[in-house]
Amino acid sequence: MQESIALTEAVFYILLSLYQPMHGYGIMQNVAQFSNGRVNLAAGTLYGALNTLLEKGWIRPEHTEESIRKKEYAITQSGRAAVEAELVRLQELIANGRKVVGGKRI
Amino acid sequence: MKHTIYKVFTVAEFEKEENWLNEMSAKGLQLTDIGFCRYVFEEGIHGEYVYRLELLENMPTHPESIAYIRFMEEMGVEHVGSILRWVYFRKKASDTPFDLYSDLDSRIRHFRRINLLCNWLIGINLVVGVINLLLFAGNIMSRYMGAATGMHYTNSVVGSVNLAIAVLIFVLARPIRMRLKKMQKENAVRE
Repeated sequence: MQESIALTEAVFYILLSLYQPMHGYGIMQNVAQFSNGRVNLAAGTLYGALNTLLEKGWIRPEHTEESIRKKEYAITQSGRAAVEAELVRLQELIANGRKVVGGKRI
Repeated sequence: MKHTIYKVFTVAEFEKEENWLNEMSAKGLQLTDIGFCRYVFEEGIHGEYVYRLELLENMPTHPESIAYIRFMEEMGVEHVGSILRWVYFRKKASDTPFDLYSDLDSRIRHFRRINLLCNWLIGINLVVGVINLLLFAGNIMSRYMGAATGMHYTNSVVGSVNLAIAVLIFVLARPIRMRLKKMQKENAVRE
């Protein structure tokens, strides 16, 4: 198993969605919207990801009126920290990518 | 109108089974109940539902399975039925596209679960087969040594059947092993 700090697309978008309390179906729709239909979270994948994120303490169950029928989740402090760290990593990738591809070809 | 069809799909043929269920749906027959090798269909709109099936980690009665099935239902997925650890889901085709897994890791985990089940079945059949054949050999030996026992062929028959089953499952599971290897290689390149 590789020790990787990179978040998968699915996880990144799930975390972004949970900056506001949301339930599973809402997350799925939100992610599809974020990615213009490119990322279609499947139910099984979403379930696994939510459980992993709960275990890591990056999200927590949220109790709202809606959640009596459907479980809702929200991001935690450590979840936000993970997202911010990921943004830094992604910016590094983009910067280097643009430098190499956008500039002179060696 | 209900139609009951009896059909055998082995452990390793779950994708074939899923395709068949979706083909039936396209013809207007929607699966509504499942038993051991028994499929109950109801006539309905052509292509009304998309069917998916998977092998759970635990039996459907286990709290983890119950939580998973409940989550699925919250997502608008119907639980059609289960046999042992296999669950059958369906979702209206008019909804968003229905797949169980959209990422490689989950798919790999599912295939590993199936591969493990196949390996257990192969292993048990091998062990039981060998034990039976040893018992049969023992029978021959004791007669050779002059004991007044009769020839008992039960063990040789059972043992041979077990070994044959072990080999059969091993061969049938090959596509699963190959897909698993391919996915694991892909995993090293991208998610």
